[in-house]
Amino acid sequence: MNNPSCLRPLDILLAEDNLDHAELMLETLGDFNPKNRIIHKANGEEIMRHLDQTLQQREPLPDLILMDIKMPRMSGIETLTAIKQNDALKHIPVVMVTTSSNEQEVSVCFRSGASSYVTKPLSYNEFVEKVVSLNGYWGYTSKTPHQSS
Amino acid sequence: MALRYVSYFCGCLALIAVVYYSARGFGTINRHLSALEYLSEHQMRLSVGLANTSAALLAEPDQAMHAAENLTELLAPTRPSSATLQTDGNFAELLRQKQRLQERLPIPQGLPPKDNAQVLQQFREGLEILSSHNQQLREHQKQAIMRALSRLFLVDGILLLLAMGCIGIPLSQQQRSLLKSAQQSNRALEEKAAALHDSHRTIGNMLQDMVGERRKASLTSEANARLAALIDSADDAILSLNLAGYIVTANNAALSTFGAYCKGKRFIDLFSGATAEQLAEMMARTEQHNSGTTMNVVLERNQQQLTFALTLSPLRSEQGGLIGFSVIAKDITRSQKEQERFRLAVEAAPNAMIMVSRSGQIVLFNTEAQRMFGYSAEELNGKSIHQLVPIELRHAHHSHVEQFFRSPVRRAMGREQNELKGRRKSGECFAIEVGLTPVESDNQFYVISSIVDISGRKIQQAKLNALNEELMRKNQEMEQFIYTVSHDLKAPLVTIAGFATRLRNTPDIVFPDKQIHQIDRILVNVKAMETLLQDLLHLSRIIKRDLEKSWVNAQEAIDKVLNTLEGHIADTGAEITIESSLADIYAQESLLLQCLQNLLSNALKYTQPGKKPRVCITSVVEAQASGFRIKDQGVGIAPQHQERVFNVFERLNPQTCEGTGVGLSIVKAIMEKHSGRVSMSSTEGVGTEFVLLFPYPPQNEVSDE
Repeated sequence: MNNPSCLRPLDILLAEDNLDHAELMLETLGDFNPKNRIIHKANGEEIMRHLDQTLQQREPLPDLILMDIKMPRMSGIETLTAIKQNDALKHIPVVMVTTSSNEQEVSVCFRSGASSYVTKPLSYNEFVEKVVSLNGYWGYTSKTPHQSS
Repeated sequence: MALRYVSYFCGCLALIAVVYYSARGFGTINRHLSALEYLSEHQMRLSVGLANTSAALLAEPDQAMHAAENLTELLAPTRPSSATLQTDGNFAELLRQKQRLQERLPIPQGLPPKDNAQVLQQFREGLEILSSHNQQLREHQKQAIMRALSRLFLVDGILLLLAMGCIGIPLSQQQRSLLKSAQQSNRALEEKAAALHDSHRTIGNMLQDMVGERRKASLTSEANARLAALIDSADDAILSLNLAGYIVTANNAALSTFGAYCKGKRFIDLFSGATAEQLAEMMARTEQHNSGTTMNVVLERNQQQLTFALTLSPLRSEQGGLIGFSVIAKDITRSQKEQERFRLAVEAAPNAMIMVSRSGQIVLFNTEAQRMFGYSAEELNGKSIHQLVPIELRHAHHSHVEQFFRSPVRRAMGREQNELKGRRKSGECFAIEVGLTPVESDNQFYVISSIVDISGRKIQQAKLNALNEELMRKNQEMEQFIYTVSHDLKAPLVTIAGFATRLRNTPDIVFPDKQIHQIDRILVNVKAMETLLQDLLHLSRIIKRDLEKSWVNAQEAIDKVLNTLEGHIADTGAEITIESSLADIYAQESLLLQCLQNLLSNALKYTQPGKKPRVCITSVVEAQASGFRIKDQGVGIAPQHQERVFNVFERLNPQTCEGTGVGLSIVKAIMEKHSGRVSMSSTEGVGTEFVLLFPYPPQNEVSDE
């Protein structure tokens, strides 16, 4: 955990409307592995647009999508559903991020196809630990599903 | 007669003779035929012999010899059957001659023809003689057959004729005579039928005449007697009066009602005063209008007031003239009493009661019904029930009444969810509830409807519903508000905490201790704020979520809570005493644990300085409810603050103790959610006591949960 260099750097797509939170997450994730490539989008629409472009230009898809649940225009759950309904995108693991850990919200996330769930912590150390463990899972499995296919 | 039977007998004899003679004749013919067959066969052999002999005479010697050998074989004597010989003596004699001739035939030897020619010649001649002889015999047999046949036909024919004559003639004679007698009797029957028809018509005419003359008198005397017996045995008093009003006949019931010597008296004289006047008027009316009338009269009998329904009808002669009156008096004392009792019961009912006949006519009602619909008794009596129904519903009401009488069962009206309405005299319509009960009286169905004016209740209910909806809406808004607030308030906290942490951990800068302390204070306060928000969120969830209640073992629940507080208890050295047998609690376990947790941690928290916390937990059981009493010896709460302890964020001494001030609010919310009760009594400086009570349902319902 404290030795992130053993992990493969990741392409992470971040959806977060709160720019402060986005900045914190970007920095935290960058701290933990400077080679991580993180793209930030402010809402679901932008995420979908970005993914469409990536597909059109045949660029590599992100390894992981971190997504806030509460976003304007297109909420996290809507975006998640859209991703999971798209055959070209549905293999990408999506981790939902939220401020409150409401049980109902959590179950909705998993029913809609989320891979995991993270509560926005007050201390970003917790957050880093969570992402590290997640990243560890995807990193140590050496390949994300779309790379193996 | 005898002659006929003799004739039949002769016929039968002749028939038997036919059978016998035919049998015999056929036997004879049969024998001749077999003789003929025998002869024919012999003839054939003779012909062959002749042919062979001729051939032997002409042929070579060795052939001739061969032919001669065949001849002897050919003529080897065959004996006719005994049946053949029996045909007749003549035939047997002829046969014997033939046999002798054959035996005398010279037998040709196996010699050359020139030596044997003579013998052969002789043999041939012999054969020819035999042949002609045989021919004669056959002719003879044929003739015999012909004879036998003709004799058979002749005799049989005669016998059959005889038999037919003997049997057939008397039979046809008898048939003819039978036919004749049948025709004769038929004719006689027809004559009789015609006579009967005539007499029937006569009788019918007579009967009609009789009916026409005297309609009632046309009954036979037996029927008359039966009618008389019927009238006599009737429970009702039946009298007939003449035109002047004197009693002519009276049945047994009449005699016992109006006195044994009433016959011959004036009927009116049996009554007194006003009743007699009424009766006289009634008779006059009957005379004029030619129709029966009924009135109730009261008679005093053996110190009893008896009520009779008197029906007075005119008696008319065949020609239509009035000849008197009939009076039927029915004792209705008992039924009147019952009616009165029924009326009183209806009157005493708290609801409006209206009894309706099948045609929808109001036959009975109470004062409450008059009051409710605003009609007087005279206005209601005999009116149609539809008058009490709003005009727009009357049509449907008609069919409802009909439907009810088709299958009369006790039921509440207006099951179809549509609201029932009544209509007052003033035209005002109002909501009602109606119960229908079918009753049978005098072999007729009635319906008693019990009506309750529910317009007031309806208005109240509508108000209550509106209020309820308003409350629900407010509640929902409140919950949504709490949820949103706690969520949205957390977002900036996350930012503050995040940046503060990053600032504190910036690798390149080393802050002086004071700044580190300031940053730490920021973080501690952010944490406190988060706890507050979480509690608030928690509270809103308790209010929002549905309960899943079950029976919880109280001892186990307390143990679970004490486990989580273990560290705290050890630190403070608290003494906790628990009653040995606690009653089970019917509640959602997680919420029950939450309550206990909040109360116990409070009890451990608010202690008097320098004193160990002492907590005592006992069971509380009430009717349909069970719970705990949690008593501590802590700081207690001043009376002026006691009302506020259950409010959200209420903390009495924020400086001395940690906590958000939501704990008791959560307890209160949980208890309200369970429809239970929480109460508190406290004395400052002595201690505080909380009582929690969770209601439980009746035993039979618990098993379903």
